[in-house]
Amino acid sequence: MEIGEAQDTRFQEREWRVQRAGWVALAVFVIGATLGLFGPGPLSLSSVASSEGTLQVQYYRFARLGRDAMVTVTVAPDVVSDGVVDVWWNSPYLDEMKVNGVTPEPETVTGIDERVRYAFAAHPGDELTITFDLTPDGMWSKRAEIAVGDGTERVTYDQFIYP
Amino acid sequence: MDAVLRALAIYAFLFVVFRISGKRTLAQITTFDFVLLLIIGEATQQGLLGDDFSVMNAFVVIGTLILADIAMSLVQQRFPSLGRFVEGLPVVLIDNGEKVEHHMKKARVDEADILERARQSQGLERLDDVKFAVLERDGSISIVPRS
Repeated sequence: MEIGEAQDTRFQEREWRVQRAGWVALAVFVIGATLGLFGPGPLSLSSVASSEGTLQVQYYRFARLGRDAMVTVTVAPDVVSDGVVDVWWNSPYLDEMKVNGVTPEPETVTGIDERVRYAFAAHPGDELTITFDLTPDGMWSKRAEIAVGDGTERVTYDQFIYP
Repeated sequence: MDAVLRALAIYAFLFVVFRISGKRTLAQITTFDFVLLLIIGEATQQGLLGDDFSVMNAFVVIGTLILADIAMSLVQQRFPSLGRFVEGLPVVLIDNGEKVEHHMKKARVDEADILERARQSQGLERLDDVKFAVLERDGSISIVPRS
């Protein structure tokens, strides 16, 4: 059957090849998403600890703009001094986040230089776990620096925020 | 990961629900059927996106749905007998000029529906002009006129 211009076997074969390749790419993308490569989820959850182990931070390696990505900071008991624990964040990172809430509530929040200090009341001898409920307000690669106490115990993590 | 699971769960649920609702709903025979499908779309949105309005989430959800659809069609191709569970079978409504009352009743299609389709697709005037009328798998009615 001749349908003229509309019929071009080579083009059609090529189109089908491209289509099949597209399916594979789509499957890879969806599997990647299931593995937590494209957003916060059980598989993109990571943790990092300071050299002495007194500071442990659990965060999401991959996050999304406008979607909650909690950060959990665990402080060992020996950093508590005078019933207060200071947790320091670098401002460049925190500025790109919307802080929805901090549990437990900090006593004070102070901005000093390029950092933000959260002071928490703590029970001496007890480990303190703080949850920062953050929602990214910026995109792409971000670096967070968290320090505790006088700042010697610190932790850095890199996070990629998808649009 | 949960976006993928949510999309798959909703796809599966909608599939089952529409499969059991029958072919009439698919074909949107009445205005109400049409309205129903419209608002189901709205109800689905919340479940699919949750509170994540990022572009990435839209990509993941849409990608998962399309992939599920492609996978379904490939499975049906590989296992043709599966086809009847997924799509159903065509139903004969008028067989050689004779109405198949039992089928029409079960499929919830009445004479007026068939006549409407006969007028639209073949320009026929009367039921006598219809040789065969078949309710196809997608819910549309196909007419073979008496020549």
